[in-house]
Amino acid sequence: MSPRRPVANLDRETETALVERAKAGDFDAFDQLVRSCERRIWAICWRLLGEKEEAENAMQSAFLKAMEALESFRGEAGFCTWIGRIATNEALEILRRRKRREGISLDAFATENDDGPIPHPELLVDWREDPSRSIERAEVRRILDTSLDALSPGLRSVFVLRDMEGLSISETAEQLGITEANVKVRLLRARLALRELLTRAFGGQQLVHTHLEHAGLGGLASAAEVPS
Amino acid sequence: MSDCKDLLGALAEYLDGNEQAEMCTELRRHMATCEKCRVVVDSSRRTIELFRDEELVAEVPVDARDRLHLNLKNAWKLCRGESTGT
Ligand SMILES: [Zn+2]
Repeated sequence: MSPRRPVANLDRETETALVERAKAGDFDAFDQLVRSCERRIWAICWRLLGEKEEAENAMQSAFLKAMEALESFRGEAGFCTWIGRIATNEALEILRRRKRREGISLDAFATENDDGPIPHPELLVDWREDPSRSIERAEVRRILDTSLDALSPGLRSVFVLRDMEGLSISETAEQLGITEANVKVRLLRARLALRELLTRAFGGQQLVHTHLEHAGLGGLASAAEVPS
Repeated sequence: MSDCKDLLGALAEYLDGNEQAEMCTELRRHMATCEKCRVVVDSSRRTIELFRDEELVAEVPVDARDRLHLNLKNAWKLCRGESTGT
């Protein structure tokens, strides 16, 4: 499964032309570029922060910073990828400020979740055929958002960067200032936690808690506990 | 891998696309006979796929989008002069 980068609806040639026009001072060209990425940028901010006002702030400052730094954009990466990185930094900065406000140190942000056993898969039941077809799209979105919200910021940020934005393990580590080993552990935790949550929502009728019986794999306390 | 013990380690590699790795070959072989592991692997894969589905990403709220374009336009005027075409 290779990470998929969302495709902006501009081809490379059009994008390059718009960038040139924007650099020459044409706002409409810049605005068109913004429109081609705004959904992706919103997705990053929303999924990292899960709070509308904060996500909007992150999105705005990302585009404003991009505007200021437009001259330095060389086009090695696509425009949306470039702004995506800026937006990720903005959102992470807001996340850190939030943690600081809540009295949790930056250190805790960097080291949480990496010790202790990984909760073993608990709910073992096949999913219904295709959730996004049998359940209304808005409802599926709500379930995804709520599930992501149940993760700690440390797990959430790794999952969003790696699995949604498609950064590599090392890029994710660099962006978050943690080790690659930590990225891998958190990624597995995040994926398994989300799997439990989504299985509750999308699993077939006969939902039973079945534990794999493993020697030496205690820690069934799930990272994915939600009030039911 | 004769039992499910190594599932978690292999699962991480498998989901990361290193399906050629030796442990993934073993996992695949194991999955053919173990229903539990097949379900875990399958639902994990589909979990990631759902989160990657662009159609399922919340759209930019209309008011937030309006404010964005307005603020960008104003900022553009401030730092680049009046060339916004209005
Ligand atoms: Zn098994």
